[in-house]
Amino acid sequence: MQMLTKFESKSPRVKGIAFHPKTPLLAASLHNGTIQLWNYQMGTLVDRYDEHDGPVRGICFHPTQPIFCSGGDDYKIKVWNYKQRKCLFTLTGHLDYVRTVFFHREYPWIISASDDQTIRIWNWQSRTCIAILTGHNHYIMCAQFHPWDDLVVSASMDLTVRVWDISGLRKKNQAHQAPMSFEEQAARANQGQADLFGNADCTVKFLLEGHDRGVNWASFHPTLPLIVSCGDDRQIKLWRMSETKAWEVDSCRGHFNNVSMTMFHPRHELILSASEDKTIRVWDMTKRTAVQTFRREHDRFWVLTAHPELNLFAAGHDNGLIVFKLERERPAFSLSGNQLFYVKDKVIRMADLTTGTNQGICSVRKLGSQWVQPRTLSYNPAERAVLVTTQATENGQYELVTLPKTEGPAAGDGKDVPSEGKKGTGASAIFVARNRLAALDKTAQSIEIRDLSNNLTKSVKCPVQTTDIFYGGTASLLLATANSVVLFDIQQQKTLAEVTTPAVKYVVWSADGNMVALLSKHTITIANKSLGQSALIHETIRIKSAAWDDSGILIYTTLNHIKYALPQGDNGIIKTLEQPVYLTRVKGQIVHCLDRTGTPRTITIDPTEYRFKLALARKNYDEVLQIIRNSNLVGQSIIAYLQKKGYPEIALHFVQDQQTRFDLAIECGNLQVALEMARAVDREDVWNRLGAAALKQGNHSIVETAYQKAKNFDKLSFLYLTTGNTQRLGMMQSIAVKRGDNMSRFQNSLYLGDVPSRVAVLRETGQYPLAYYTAKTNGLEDLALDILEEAGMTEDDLPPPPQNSGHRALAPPPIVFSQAESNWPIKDLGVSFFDRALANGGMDAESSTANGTGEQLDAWAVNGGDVDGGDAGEEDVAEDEGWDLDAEVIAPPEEEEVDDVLAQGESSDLSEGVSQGVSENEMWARNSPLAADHAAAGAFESAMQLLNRQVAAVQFAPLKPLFLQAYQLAHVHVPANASLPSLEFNVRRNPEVTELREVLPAIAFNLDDIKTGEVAEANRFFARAKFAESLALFRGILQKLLMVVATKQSDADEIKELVITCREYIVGLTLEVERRRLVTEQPENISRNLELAAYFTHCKLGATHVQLALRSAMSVFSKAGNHATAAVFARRLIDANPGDAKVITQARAVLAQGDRNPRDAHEITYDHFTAFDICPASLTPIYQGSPAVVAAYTGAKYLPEYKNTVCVVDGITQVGLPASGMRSIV
Amino acid sequence: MEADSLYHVKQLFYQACITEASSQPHSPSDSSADALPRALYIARANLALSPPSISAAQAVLKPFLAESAPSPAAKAVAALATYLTSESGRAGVVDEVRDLVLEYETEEEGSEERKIEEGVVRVMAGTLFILEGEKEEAVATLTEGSAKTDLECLALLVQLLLSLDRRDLAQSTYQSAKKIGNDSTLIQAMEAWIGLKTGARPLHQSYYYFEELYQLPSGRTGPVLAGHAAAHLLLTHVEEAKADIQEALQRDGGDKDGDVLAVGTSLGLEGYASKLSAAAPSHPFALDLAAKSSLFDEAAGKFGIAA
Repeated sequence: MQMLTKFESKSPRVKGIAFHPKTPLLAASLHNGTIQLWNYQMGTLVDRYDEHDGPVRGICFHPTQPIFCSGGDDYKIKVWNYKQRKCLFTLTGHLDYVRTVFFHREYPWIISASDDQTIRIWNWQSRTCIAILTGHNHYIMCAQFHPWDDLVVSASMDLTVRVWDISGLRKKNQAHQAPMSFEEQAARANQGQADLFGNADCTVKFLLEGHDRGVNWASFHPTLPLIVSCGDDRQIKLWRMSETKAWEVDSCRGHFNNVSMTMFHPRHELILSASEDKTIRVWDMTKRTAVQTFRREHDRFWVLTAHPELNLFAAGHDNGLIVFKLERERPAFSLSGNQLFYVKDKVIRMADLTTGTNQGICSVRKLGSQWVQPRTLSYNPAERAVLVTTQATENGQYELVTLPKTEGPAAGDGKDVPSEGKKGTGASAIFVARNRLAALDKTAQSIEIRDLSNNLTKSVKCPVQTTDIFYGGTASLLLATANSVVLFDIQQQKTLAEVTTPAVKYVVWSADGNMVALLSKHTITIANKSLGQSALIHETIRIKSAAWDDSGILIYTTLNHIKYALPQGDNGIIKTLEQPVYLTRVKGQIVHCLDRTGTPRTITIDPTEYRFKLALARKNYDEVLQIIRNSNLVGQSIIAYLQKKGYPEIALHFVQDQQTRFDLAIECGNLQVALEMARAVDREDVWNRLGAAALKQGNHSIVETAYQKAKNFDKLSFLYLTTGNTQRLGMMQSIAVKRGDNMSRFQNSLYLGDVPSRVAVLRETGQYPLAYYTAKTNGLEDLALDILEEAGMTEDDLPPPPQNSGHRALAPPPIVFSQAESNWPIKDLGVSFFDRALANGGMDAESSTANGTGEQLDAWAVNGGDVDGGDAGEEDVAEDEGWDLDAEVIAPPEEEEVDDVLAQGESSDLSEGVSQGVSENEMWARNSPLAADHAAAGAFESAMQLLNRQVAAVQFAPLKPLFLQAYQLAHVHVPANASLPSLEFNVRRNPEVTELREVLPAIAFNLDDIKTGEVAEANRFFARAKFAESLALFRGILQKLLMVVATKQSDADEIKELVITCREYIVGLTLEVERRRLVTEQPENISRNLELAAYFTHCKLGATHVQLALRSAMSVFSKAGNHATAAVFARRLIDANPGDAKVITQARAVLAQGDRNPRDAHEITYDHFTAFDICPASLTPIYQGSPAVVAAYTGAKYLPEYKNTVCVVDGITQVGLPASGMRSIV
Repeated sequence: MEADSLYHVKQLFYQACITEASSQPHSPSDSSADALPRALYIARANLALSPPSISAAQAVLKPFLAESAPSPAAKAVAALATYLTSESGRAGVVDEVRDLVLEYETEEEGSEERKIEEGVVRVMAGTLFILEGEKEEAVATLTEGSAKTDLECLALLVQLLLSLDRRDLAQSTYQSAKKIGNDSTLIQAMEAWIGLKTGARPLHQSYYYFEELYQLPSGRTGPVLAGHAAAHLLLTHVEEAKADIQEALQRDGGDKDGDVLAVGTSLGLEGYASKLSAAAPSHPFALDLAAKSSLFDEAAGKFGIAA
């Protein structure tokens, strides 16, 4: 048995001590008159009361009310309220020191014992004394109520212990509570009178004599009819009583000085005593033998008390008090799969965590001392063996128990099944392998490895001063030292790793064995299996136990909390506990644990918070999202957490507070939300911050709003300058005039390049020289003379201008692109996963999260996700804001001027003339590199330039209808006001975008239309041998393809292929058209005819079309008598495998003829062995390697002499002009 | 209902049901206070017909002009009629209207009636200025005096600003107009025009404006169908737009209506471009396309075989 000290305080002598039954409060009354209130769990002094005069000896908490009472040497009994922190009232009556005070468990009574030889019972509600128990004839040292009976026991210096019967008092008190009949009232009155004369209510029941000196203390057994008392005769006496008598049972001898206090152990058959011999002793109640003695060097013990509910004791001594336990409450346990093996009341039990049942298996009563529970339990599932250790003896002891194989219930729930294990010495012992156990011999500092027959196989010297050993993975041990943990390989006898940590008490491995938590008194070290430390967690109160969640989160308990820790060390509270528990396993929301009585329990926890954090830490955003949507995560802590971890955009979802939302929005760069919040907060500093943030992103329309709101005139002017917004600059100038700010006027006139007003400012401010020279340099001679005159000088009076002044007018550069309308390219913040997901899913989530964050999500969806609406709305508002400029924002110092500005405000913006804005056509041209889009925008010339650059187009006449149509289709007129021309609108192909930088014109020609229309038609013509028509169509397609806009890359690629196909058809058709012309116009030119027919077969046409060409060539060649070449075509035709059998027969015949007569009648330029391209202009072959020039668009190859002619294939481009290649996708 | 006896004719006028507005009953003997405004609307509706029915307008106005001190508003409408009559003498008409506007320049606070009159004068003047291309002057006319609170002036202004690609200004004008009367047809029209320019959600909302007009009992006139079709087209609903145009063609004179033909042209319907230039050569789209055609030739002329 050990005294496990939980709390210790230093103070003057403690004479009285009392536990609070529910909260961790302890009251200590001191010899110097002070009452201290300690929180023994936190170790803090909660309060102190100094109202007693002289030593305070008695103290007691009320079991339910927030009050306590105290009695002192000032004869007073005081009742205190510790919540109000004051003395409620004082009971006076005793005529000498008050030794003890106790509350009745049920009635509003206080019993007090005094040196005036009386025991008094007080009603603290009526604040009267209701009974005086007289009989002792010396100081009464102690008087207590019986825990449940109407008895009182008292101890006195008159060597006696008395037991009093107070049932009469109880009856009288009960009667008080019920409504009284007349008779009862009369009876009571009589009784009351009787009361004045004697102690009719309270009578001495037993008089216990046996002590040789004064008796210091006497107390009842909590359940049995036993009394224990102690006295200055250094003895502890045990008394037994029946209904009629009481007698001394035995005495416990051992103390060698006065025994100040004795009591029964609330739960075990033990007697505790505290003595002035500086010891606390524990006695076996049944054998009356000493079990344990706890000695202190200098402190005499004066009081001892037990917690009414917990296994806690407190003792007061000369220099303070101690709170201690006599036994470890942590049950030894080991988890194996779903089976939990643990020890309760020295019986090994097994709990099935899936079913929640548990049963005893066998008893280990013989291990160690009777009163000491085993410390650890190690389970070996392979052999179904259990290793139990205890520290009852000096060096510790272990027992190796092979559990019975039977699964059935054991006799007496295991109590009657004695273990027949093999014992050995060792401070700690664990299984290290299926058939090996390791036991630590602390004194020898060696580890003994034994087999399952408990035979020593080897002994290993500890590499470090080891205090404890733990499982360290297969064949490894974790050796705990005072300040580190060492991973030790038993086989190699080698230290593998070491981590510094406060003395480790327990080690918890994760289920997969990859993570380990090293638990110390106040710290947890989280490490991986090679002891690479990943986090160190500090707790101010004791850490009790831990278990790993399946997802890699450590759940741990402290004295009063269940908490979690992420692998990287973030931790937080899950639940508050009334009593400590020992975690055995965590599975989802269920925490399995053993409580202090060793009973398996389960606790349901809410894992949301730590799962959220874990998902966040692992960047598993899907899950984060899931959690945000489905659970009600709120609170400052989670916001602070998200902010700290760099996820302000998520935090934004939880925040309602406008300022916080603004801060978060700025942090995550969400300007829209920031703007919204800035409007709501509307403070200058907020606007300034918004302006700075917007500037970083280049969102100058928000910058503008912010500057306006913050009345930042200078910056606003500069912003307008840089964005080329001269119109607003002009307004700024007129505002500057109104404000009478000359510097600002000057600056704005400079920005505007407005010389007259610059001169005017200078002149008005009396800067004549500057005004003069400004006017002069800018050629305003008349004005210059005026100024001279005003200054009263002539030109001759003037010093010559400085040499280097020059005569250049100072003016801002012209605006190339007015950027006033749209923002600069905005820094791409990368749409956060959450922005996107939450926006998209916002609506779905609405129903599920309606209770908490639904509104937020909704708002979010509208702001961020709803691209087609939210942004546009914002934009408009922003613009609108801009125009409020002079109406609201600017507040000139004088009221009159305000009116002035207002009056002008509305008109000035328009009356000063409206300049033409940026038309959407311009935007289209700016936004697209495609000729088609430029044509649609009406920017024909730039479209042509693009085509020229891309495909070397030079002759645009064929494209005219296409250009016009593109333009036509991209504009629509809507009649508006009566008698006015209709309004023109631009048809967009992306009407859902709002950003002007993204708008694009409607697509006039698309690939699908061409494929289903023209291409199909051209093919039909080809098949029907309408070559001229087909040729025209293919050329038309080729030209149209220049104007096609593809929306996906595959289409763009297809367009490129289609261009090649068209080229081949056009070349082939040109050949055939030419051949037919020859046939009719120059029938004599047979060889040219043959050549053309032969070349035709080399165009890369569709398979069936090539066959047509081959058949044509075959017949032409046969007819002309060029049988050898005809046979070549015949073979190619057969190889092409035509479907028509007739064709094959025909080809075979030609082939045969060619074999018979392998000669050609006409000499032609045709070499079918060498690959060649056909020059579309000359219609002659260009063999590989021969010089050629290329037409950039179609890739057609021409003979060099055709360089710089218009390509005959497309009729548009210039042959040989380099080009960048066609683009059909933006 | 509020006793605005002009409500009906106004609505028709604003809802682009010009034909119906122009044929509203009007008796010259009507001597109520509303007689003049009513006549003005009818006259304006006649003038807004395509082609304008000038003589009818003048007939309606005649009794009012014959008064000893004819109302400036009547004079302004008459001026527009004169303007539309012939090419020649337009400058004189413009000057006349300019003088009419000037009369209000110095005015401090006129009576309500006077204000309404001023509004009509300004609208007419604005119309003329816009037709003349005097945009600066039009803006000035439409932003001064009672124009600031006159929805018709503001509507004109919005259109002008939009045609100048100043959607920002149009939006702010619309915002200030909204403060005057929130549920007026004109306000909705302004919003719709702006929306059509904006795209995205405002575009969708604009569509509903045209859809509402389309669903009105008096709806499905040429301009309404043209607007409806255009809104469809802007939303890339080409087939629906084509159906609208077909419907418009079924109507009397549908194939002559410049507005309808213009939208048909934008839809790429076969032959509409030529029909447009034949039937309504002065329609802005017809003019625009002609200009683009010559622009093309001009631009194409800059390219050629480069050595």
